Amino acid sequence: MFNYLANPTRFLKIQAAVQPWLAAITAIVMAYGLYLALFVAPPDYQQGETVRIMFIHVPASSLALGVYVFMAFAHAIGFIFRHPLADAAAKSAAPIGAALTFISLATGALWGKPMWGAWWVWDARLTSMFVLFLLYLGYIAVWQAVDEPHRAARIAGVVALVGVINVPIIKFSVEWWNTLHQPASLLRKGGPAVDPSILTPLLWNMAGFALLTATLILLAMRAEVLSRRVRQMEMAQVGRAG
Amino acid sequence: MDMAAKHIGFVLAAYGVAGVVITGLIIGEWLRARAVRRRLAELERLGAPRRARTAAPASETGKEQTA
Repeated sequence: MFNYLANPTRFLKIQAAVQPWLAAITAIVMAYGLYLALFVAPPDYQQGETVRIMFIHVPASSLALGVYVFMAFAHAIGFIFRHPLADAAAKSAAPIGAALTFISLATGALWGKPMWGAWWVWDARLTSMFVLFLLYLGYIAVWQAVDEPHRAARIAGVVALVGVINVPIIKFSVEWWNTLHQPASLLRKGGPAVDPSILTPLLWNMAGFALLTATLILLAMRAEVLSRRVRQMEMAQVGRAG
Repeated sequence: MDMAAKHIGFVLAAYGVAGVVITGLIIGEWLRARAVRRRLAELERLGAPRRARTAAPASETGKEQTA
């Protein structure tokens, strides 16, 4: 599979065929998830209407972690197999991961103020999530700062692989330390601790966010592959003129 | 959703922030793709060769394929 997709031209062909269908399914799932979140899910007996913030906060947070793991995995594939699309995939995913982390932090603050009485606390979960945001920004900055793409990919790959240590820290921070942030309520021993009336809309929204992330990454990868082709043609043009 | 409920402003603000960020991402990606497509078409119109004479790094050209 990796070898099959190692050809950028083949990737562009597959992406062009898949993209419209993926975008359509994403729009349908996101619209249904939004409908369930805003109009079907009941208010929580303790949180009231603010529980609806969870339908954005939880999917954005999970995918912010997932995208970073994807980037680290892509760079590992790039380092080991020298797959020509691996670092393009990681580079394309970074702004999307950063945006999801920002949504997670912003919606967390908007939930924290009415529920905790504070926009922000420096507890382990919030702080490690903020570190993830900084890692995303640092990763993007490497690509911006280094002109030569091959060298930029190597440095960015090191940042991604070292930074992935932060992912289990975020996940288990609520168990390792005493945090204001509540412990895991979905992926836990004994199954989800969420009532089905809230769990169902949450899962739909998680699916919608996951599809949106995949759609955007594929779109960004297409632009990245084409921009590398442009760079190559510009260099060839300069070489021919010289 | 009860629009008169306590803290509803926080809920609307959260959905607003997420909506703006996601819309920004979609528009940003679309604009970038369009700019790259236009530049590529321009270079093809000028007859720019697809490959340089000296080989560029594999990750840049996408030429290398694992066996």
